[in-house]
Amino acid sequence: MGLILSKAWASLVSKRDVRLLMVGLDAAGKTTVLYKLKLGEVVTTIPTIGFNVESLVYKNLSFNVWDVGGQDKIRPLWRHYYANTEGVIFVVDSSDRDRVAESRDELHRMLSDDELRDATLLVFANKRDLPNAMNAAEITDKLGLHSLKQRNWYMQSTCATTGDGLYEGLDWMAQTMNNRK
Amino acid sequence: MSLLDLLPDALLSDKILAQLPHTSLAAASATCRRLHTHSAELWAHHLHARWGPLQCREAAPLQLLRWLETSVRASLLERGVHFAMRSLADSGRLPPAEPNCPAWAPTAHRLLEWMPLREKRRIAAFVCADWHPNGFLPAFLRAFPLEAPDPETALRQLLVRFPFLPIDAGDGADRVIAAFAERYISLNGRQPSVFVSPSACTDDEARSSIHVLLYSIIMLNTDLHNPAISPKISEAEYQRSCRCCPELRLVRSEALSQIYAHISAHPLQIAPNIATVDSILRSSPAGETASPAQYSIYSSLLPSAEGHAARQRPHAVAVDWNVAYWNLVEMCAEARSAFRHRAAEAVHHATSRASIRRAGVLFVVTAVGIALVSATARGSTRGRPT
Repeated sequence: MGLILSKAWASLVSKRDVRLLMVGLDAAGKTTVLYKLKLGEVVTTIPTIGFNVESLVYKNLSFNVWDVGGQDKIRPLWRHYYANTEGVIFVVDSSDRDRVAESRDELHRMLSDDELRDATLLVFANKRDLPNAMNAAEITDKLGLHSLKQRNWYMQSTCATTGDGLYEGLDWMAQTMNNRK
Repeated sequence: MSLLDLLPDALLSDKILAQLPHTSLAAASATCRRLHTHSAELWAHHLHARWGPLQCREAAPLQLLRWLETSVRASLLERGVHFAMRSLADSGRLPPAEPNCPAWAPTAHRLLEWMPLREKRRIAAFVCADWHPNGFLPAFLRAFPLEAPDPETALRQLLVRFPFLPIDAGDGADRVIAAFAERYISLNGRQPSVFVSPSACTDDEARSSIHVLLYSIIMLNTDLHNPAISPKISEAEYQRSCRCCPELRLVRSEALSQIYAHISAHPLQIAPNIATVDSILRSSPAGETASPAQYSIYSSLLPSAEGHAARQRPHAVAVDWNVAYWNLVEMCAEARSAFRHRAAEAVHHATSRASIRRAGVLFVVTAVGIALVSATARGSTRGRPT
């Protein structure tokens, strides 16, 4: 009886760990997104003398988020971590019309990796508050998201500095992860 | 201080006091007060040793030092390094700026030598922030001696002087590492202990491979020593991961094995005996923000992480009711869908003929049973004497 009760208790209060990668060109606003999300719901931070790995709790999921940035040449080092990754958050600057093609190439190159074939994709079209920002439909088109046939993806326009849209996106991610298990 | 107290006053001259290291300002100040000497040269010496080449025009050095040590130092912690440096610039005391380097850079170098770790980390986070002009970081790193037998040793030397880790693995880290690689190659050249064939590669190629190698070292340290990450990378996996980068094919595999062995045995440190920190610092023009290590005991981390976080935060969150609420919501949704499924099945079964017959038989049996029970009950009440 005690065992059953403790099991029931554990299933009530335990979280599920989900590893997410956060990708995007430089200056797309990845760090701001991460930081804003973190200010909302902090639970676990274990800082090491190394790279920041943020854990943020949303509903009953614990997201382990890696900000994967930097130049192309260090990208192969991240492949080791693709294996257990369940979702990718791709941040794109919706006001940067010149580099949206570069973003598209980056996104498709990453998703073509075999280890990420089952990962769900959440696109944050960031900086939507800027005057010349593209709308969600235009970005979906320019990023070639319709060509992703087998992929579960979602596009959310956001403004990371105010936090608008971030939780809507995360909500979708949480729902997808919960349906998956 | 105790040594100064032992010396006879006759021996205590401004020259002796000027020999004191720049960390012992309090000792110098106390001794001066005892001896009633307030030589301007002595204080100018200490001012420059602690705060760099500031211009000290009409104000006496002691007054300037007082302002720096109280008001500026407090604002550095409370309102951010950017604010403190701007107030220095506004006071007009900073020396003229050198190309690619802001005027506050020499002051920041001095402060990194003697300030406590808490302030040093803030200065380092500020220096690595992305709003500084391009080319600033290589110029800033030029002040650090990075001569070392291998890149890992150089990184350890730099970290103790300039604690820029932990950092977000994005562009900020990439900028520091690129500047480091440039400086490393210019000082140490292409070392035969690191490169497979030093003469066959150009300086640019060597710089790129040092860049990727350093990035991999910091990733390795994160992987092996951050309890939030599991499973841990093995040496074979590390070698394989490095071999995926074309730049690292120039690096000897013995060098990689050695790095794995060193990092797994001795984690990177930002001060002697400090291999972990309790906060993540991020810099913005409005100041540095520290997000502290927090922990919920119901998180599913490794046991070592629980121990680590428990040390950081003695009062862990008992139950995360928010998580429990969402678990409950999800359980209810599951139960509802399961119930609906069952009900639909039952309706489906009920419509089949066999089950109608079975239900009919059950109904008849129950009706007969009830009639029998009520008849015997009536009989027994009738037979009972009143």
